Amino acid sequence: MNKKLELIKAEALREIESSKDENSLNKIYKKHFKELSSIFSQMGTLSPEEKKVIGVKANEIKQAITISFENKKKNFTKKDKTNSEFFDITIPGKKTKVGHLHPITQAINEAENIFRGMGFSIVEGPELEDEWHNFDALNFPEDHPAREMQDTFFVKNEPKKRLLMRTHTSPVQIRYMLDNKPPYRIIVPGRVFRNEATDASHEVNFHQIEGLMVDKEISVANFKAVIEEFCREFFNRDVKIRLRPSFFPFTEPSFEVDMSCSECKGKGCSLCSQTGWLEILGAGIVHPSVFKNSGVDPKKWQGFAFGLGWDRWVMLKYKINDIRLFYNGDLRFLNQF
Amino acid sequence: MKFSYNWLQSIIIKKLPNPKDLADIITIRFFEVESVEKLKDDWIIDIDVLPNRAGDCLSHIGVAKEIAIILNSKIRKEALKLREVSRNAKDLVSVEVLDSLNCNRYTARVMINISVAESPKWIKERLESCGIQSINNVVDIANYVMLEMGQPLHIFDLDKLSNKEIVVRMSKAGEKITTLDNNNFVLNKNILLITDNKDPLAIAGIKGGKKAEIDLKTKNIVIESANFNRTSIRKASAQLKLRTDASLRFEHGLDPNMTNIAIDRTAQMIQEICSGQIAKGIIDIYPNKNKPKKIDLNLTKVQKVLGITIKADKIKKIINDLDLKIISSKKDNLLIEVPTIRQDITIAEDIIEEIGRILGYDKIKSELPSLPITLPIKNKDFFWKNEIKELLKSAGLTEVYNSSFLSQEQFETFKYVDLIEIEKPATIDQQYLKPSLIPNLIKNIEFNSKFFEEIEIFEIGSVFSKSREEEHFAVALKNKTFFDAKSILELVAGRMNLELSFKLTENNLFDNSAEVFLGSEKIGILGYNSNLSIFEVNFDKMKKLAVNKKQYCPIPKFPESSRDLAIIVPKEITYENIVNEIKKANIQLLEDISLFDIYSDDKLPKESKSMALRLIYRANRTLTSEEVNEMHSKIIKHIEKNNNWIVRK
Repeated sequence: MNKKLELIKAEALREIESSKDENSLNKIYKKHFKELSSIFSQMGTLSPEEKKVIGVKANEIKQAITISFENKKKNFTKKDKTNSEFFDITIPGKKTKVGHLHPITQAINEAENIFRGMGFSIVEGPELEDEWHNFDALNFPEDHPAREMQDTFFVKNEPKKRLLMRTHTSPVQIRYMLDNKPPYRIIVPGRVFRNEATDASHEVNFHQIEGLMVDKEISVANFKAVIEEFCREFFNRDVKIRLRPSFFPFTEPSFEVDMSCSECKGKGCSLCSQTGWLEILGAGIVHPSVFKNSGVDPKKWQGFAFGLGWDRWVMLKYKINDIRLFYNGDLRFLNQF
Repeated sequence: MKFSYNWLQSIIIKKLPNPKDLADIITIRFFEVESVEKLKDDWIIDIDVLPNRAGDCLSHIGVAKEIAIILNSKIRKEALKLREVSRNAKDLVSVEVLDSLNCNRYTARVMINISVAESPKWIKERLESCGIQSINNVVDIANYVMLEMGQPLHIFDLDKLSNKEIVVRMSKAGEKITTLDNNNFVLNKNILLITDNKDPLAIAGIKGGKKAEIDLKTKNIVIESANFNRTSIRKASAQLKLRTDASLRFEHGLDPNMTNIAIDRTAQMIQEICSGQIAKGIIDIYPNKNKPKKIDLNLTKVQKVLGITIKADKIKKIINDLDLKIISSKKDNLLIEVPTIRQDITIAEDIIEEIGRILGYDKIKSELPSLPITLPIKNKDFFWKNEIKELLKSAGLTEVYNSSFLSQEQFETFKYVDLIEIEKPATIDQQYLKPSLIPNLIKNIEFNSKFFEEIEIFEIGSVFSKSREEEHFAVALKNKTFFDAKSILELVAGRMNLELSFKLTENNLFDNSAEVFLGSEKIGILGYNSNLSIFEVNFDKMKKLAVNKKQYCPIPKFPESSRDLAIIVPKEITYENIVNEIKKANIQLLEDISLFDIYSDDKLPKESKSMALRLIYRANRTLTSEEVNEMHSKIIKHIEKNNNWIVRK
């Protein structure tokens, strides 16, 4: 019986393989299936041990023949289809519905990833801030013009503590230093506010990413390297940066940082007003008074702080020409990201 | 401020690079150049002088000094040649300062028999280059010296003074002055004035008055070179909405030690150009002399801060070039005296900045810090915010950012109370901080309806009420159902491992609305209106209790058996009521209950509805159909105990 089974298998597989069309294939399959059935019906005459062995074998062969039959059949149907129906592969794929994250969110996450790689933690703080954290602690003199109404949204009727909408993310530096011991390596993304008229490059709401790195000997040279790494990663190209002297009450020395223009690679174009450079951030070495106000000993600790105007970065990255697009919820804009 | 290239060249000994290259040097080493433009034979360089350097660099000499250091050159110094006559200035005019808090120093000189006429061409041209209109030779010289040295000056016609007196005092309420440009001001009582002890002659440090104006007949003059308190000038200028070249300089703070040099320079120029004689002596009221500061500078610290090796000699040369004086030097430490004109330099770090910028920041090579590896600290709030944003994005929602303010229109529509109000907003649309994300989301839906049939958006952001700031999370859907919104909220809660419950409520914004509860605390609202479904919840409260837990639960080995259950119930019976009844039957092997249909029509009894549920049974073996039927019948029996609940069979 064993031999007979082997014979059926060999013959069946050979015939299936050489069959010419679906019709003959079906016939071949039926014929051998019948043969197998008759084997099963004869099994009653066998001893229990033989039954077991032959039973397993017969089932295996049945399976093998069926698989071979199905495969061959698929081949025929495939061929038939190409002959009978025209298959237009240029018809667009069915649209899968996906959502979108705001470009500023995406870019913040990207920045976070790059800075995390350099050991920076992400920290956030309140948007409704008090005057001490926003100005005094950051070494703004009492009569600094930035405290005047034209720039700052002060809140009405707060007699105890003067409250305002933070004008920068720097107050979070102070909050973090007061709550934690140095060394520090943090970035602070967040929304900030300026009380001014809006146009294509000015918004009353906008975003900043603040950075603070403090250790025993963090220098201007270190700042340059960290910010170069960041620019390279974020803009995905070999950028040049340069430092220019500037003035901020909370850093000394202070500088503006320019990046070689992303559009003209430094040759001069309308984006960079023909200078070849784009102003991308303000930075400096943390002023000793800021350390003192935050309970950190300026004789022992040293480091840099910087603030990126994040909307402008995102505008540069995606070539967006109007800052107001970020804040008006226009899905024709948001769906592009 | 606008600077004349030719003027700068006349001060600096070395030949200047061409104007464009010079502008680059200025930008890189000290101030940003706004523009470079040709004007006749000159070039105008518009320089954005940094506010801390206004004291010395809103002047051609100040900027020329900076350029000379970079070019390794020097500036020309002209010795003053004053020829005084024997008549004493003090006999011709008396000066009294009644408010020495707001007037730090008042210097005056008197000149007699001068001739007022048109200015010589070269003076006219230089003033024009800097954007100042020529008036007559005397007034032009005062302006010229201001542009040259940075000290504003004023000149009065001595013969027009009522009492041959100059009195500096605060204004009285209601006092009036007509300025040189024929504007009339009625003053409050806190504006510093120069008077002749009868009438105001000038608004101190801001603008001269008509009364003692120089005209073509003027013969005898008083020259004023004073130093006024910066805060007092800034406040007066803001109050009068009057900003002038003089007020701009005083506002930033000037060196009081400059007034006498500037007044001598002015007198000398008037003598040369307008002839006349200089009366003997300088009237100088200067009660609290401004003295130079001394600062300790550690050379190692300079290198440590900049991150560069510099030779001590190089540092010392830069310090000398800057006109800072090294008084003593001990090993690594220098004691440095800072001239009073450099009011911006008060601590060692200020000098380090000077060294860095004169040296050139481009000379500092980038160097990544070599610090031990430390892992960033996990931020739970930030994690959840992003996790939920990603989840919503994959569920097909789009994130929007909106203004943090309520527009006037929204304020009127939504009638919120306890809002935080802004003191002086730029426009009425920023008068209130938004207490909810909903108004702006509705605005987004309305706007986008022009372009999209279905809209699904969300926002996570801060909202404000009575000095409190909270982070909220809200979703708005257009042409979706109440339950689509609810399902998104349940999706988010599920990810955060939070159990929410809902209570029917009335809300004038919505036709149907529910309060959202987290435990026993109300955290938000869920509402539906014709084609708009919205929810808003307090995200801070959710993040606080959220658990980021994922645990594997073994895949069931045995198949499930399902039975459907259709029940007709009075319409006020809720799904939750039915589930609770089913649970009362206490069937251990009942694994899951779900609702798959709900409807009501004429064929059903009045005021009732039909609900179809699917019940899933499963055990640690294959259940027989008899076993399942038995459990299911038990449940049906339990349900039928309720009056008016009919199980369809």
